[in-house]
Amino acid sequence: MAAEAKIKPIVISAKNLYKIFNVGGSDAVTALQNVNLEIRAGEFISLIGPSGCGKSTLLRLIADLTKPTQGELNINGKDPHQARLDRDYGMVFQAATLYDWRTVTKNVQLPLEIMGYPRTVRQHRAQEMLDLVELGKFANHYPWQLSGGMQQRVAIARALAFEPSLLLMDEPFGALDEFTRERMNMELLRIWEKTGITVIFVTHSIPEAIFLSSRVVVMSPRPGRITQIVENNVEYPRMFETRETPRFFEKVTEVRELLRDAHLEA
Amino acid sequence: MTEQSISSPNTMSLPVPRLRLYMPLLLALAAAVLVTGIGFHFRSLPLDAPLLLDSTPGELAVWMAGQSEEAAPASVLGGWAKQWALQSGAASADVNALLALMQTLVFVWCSITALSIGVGIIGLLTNADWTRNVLLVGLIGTAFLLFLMPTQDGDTTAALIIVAIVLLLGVLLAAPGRITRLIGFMVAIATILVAWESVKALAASINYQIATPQPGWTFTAYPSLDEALAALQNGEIVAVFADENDIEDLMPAYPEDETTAALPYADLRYLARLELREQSFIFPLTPDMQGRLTVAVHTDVAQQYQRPSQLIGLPVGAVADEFAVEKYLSLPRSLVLLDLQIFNDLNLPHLQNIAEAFLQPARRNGEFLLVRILGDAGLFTFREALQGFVFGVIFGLLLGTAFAHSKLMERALLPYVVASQTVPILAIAPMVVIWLGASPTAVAVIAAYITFFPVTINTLRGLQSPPPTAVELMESYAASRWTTLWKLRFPAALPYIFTALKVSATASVVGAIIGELPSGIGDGLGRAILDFSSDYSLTSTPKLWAAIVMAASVGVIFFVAIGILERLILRQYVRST
Repeated sequence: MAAEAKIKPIVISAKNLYKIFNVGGSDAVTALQNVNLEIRAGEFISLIGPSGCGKSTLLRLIADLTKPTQGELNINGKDPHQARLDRDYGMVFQAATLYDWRTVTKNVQLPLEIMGYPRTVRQHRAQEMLDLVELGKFANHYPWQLSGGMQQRVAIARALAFEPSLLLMDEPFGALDEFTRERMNMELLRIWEKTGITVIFVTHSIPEAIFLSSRVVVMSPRPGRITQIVENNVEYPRMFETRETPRFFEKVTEVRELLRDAHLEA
Repeated sequence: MTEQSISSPNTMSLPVPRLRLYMPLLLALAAAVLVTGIGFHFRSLPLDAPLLLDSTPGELAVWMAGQSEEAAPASVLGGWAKQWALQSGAASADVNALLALMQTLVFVWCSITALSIGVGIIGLLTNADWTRNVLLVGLIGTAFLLFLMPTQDGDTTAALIIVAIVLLLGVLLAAPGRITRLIGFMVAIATILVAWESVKALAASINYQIATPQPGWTFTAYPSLDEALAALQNGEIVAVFADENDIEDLMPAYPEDETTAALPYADLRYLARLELREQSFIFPLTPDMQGRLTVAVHTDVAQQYQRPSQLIGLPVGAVADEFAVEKYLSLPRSLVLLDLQIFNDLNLPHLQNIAEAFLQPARRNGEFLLVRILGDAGLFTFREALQGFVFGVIFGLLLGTAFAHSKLMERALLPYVVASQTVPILAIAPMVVIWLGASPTAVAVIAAYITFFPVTINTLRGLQSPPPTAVELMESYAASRWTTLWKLRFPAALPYIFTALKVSATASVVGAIIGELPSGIGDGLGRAILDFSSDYSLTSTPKLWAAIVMAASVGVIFFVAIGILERLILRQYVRST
């Protein structure tokens, strides 16, 4: 699949991208320095690195939640602002960010309501998405009646509801326990394979990055930059057992060493 | 108890103290016996017994019988009495029959109360979960008796009711079962009622020794009022202290001075505007005094005496047995250790007197009971308050929303919104009345003036309450400001807004009552409170308290209504508790 991705069109391209907070101030912080990255359709990209390496900032630049200081960033051939207005991406945060006063299905329908879909389409699509994340039976529950993992699955269903071509995930499973996290990884992989969506996934966890992605972008802090982009050749389909294969360990070790070197440099 | 034994098995082996087991049972049994006894006692009273005639149902029966003598009684209760009389072939209802009916009703009430305490005893024995609820019914039933039975010298009924309530409170605390909000509320009320009557009993028992007059009186006691007034006419004394109710038909008042030739003592004046503090300062106001103290003097010198203290050293007189004045006037002022006059009947009426005031005509021989008149006034004030509430809430919501969306507006105007609340409403109210005229609309604006503030502040806080990611989620959907307001900020603000609405609901009633005063609107509670407080006497203080109770009830009902609305609308917000 990684090989196939090569021939697909470029979805995101960043050239000489800089992000400096408090430009010109004495407390100016270079969050991203000279980032160059090309992501093709259908890829699953993980951004990994220690805190302060700018991985979340890069994701927020792509989502147009913050503006770059310098450089070029294109989403589907448009600037990020236009891409946001065109609703090119769905976003999942570390917290599920469900609205307490809406039922699960109403939460999933939220983007559809904003985009003006008719009611029947909304309901149908929401049910479809909830079935996809295996929460079909919980449509009429309220968020606070669900566990943390279930809430995060609702958030994924909500991000996918309007069928964006791009899914941005900012440490979505960071607050979950190990077991739930591994189950969610399987689930996410299944959804990715089923929908063929492009995913950019920010994480702290090396095994998670290796298990999920087709490429891993290793980043280092102060200033935030890309150290290396690792092609992940762990074969598909990836199952629970995949985590116990030598190739998996190999890749985990490779990324870990890259991160350690980056850390020692800094 | 079961929970304890499960969580700490050690206690299971400990022997349970027998006293702790049997004490609640004994207390409940005693309470049940007391309540039953009160019921039987009340039923067996002769129809002319003071305890019956002065009781709330007794007074009501007498009034109903009086109303049934009218051709077409205007009030509901009067109409019932009339119908009841016509059915038995009489022109008007028989007082004695009505009194007997009231006796039976009270007896039935006591029986039901005693029965629920009895069921509570069974609950105690079987350690049942519902025990507290049943005992609560018994507590409410017993506490209600306090509002029925008068406090009379030498009669222990009221005291026994208090004892029964205290016993039941003890049982209720020891009983098994969940403590609901209602139980907590009723326990608090019952405790307040007990404290109210107890402190009055305490003050009454001490009052005889403490409320002594200023020293230096030259005092003569006369066997009757006529003899005292004759002595005043002769010039033997310069003033006579007496009850205003006794004296007002005998001579003209000063300074009103309507000279009526028909009055027997045309050359005397009684001082109509004695300051209240001075009255209770001279004589102790024991339960015997049914009215207001006043001073009678000669017409020629009436102008000199505006305060009783001016009479110190001069020969004065009073009726010997009226206030037992001899006893007090002979005591030196230095004996006064403690002034408990705020607990006397003038300032803090018995609970039964307040209940009785509700069920008595507002004016002598009036055709409507005070409860009806105050109820109408309460409804009128509520309408004004509701109108003001709606104005204030709309204004507050708009202002809060504007502040949430414009930093400039918030920075520029919020200080003035805060400052507006530091201006006393009493100062603003007359201005509003001048601008808008003395109308219910002006009152509503005054109510709105104190209502909008909490709504503004809480709307602003609520709209700013969503976490940054919740807002960014909206941004990621390229949602407009309006959509973000409607789909995220406003729903998130609702719990905050409802908190403000509950505060505003009660504040709007206060605002309406205050607003009624300068606008001279006579149909509301403001006027009723003003009326009853200006005529401050033993007969009108309970009415003032009744008006206070009514005003509080209007506020509470409004609060509860908003609370119910909140529960309905915010059901899905409520996390499992």
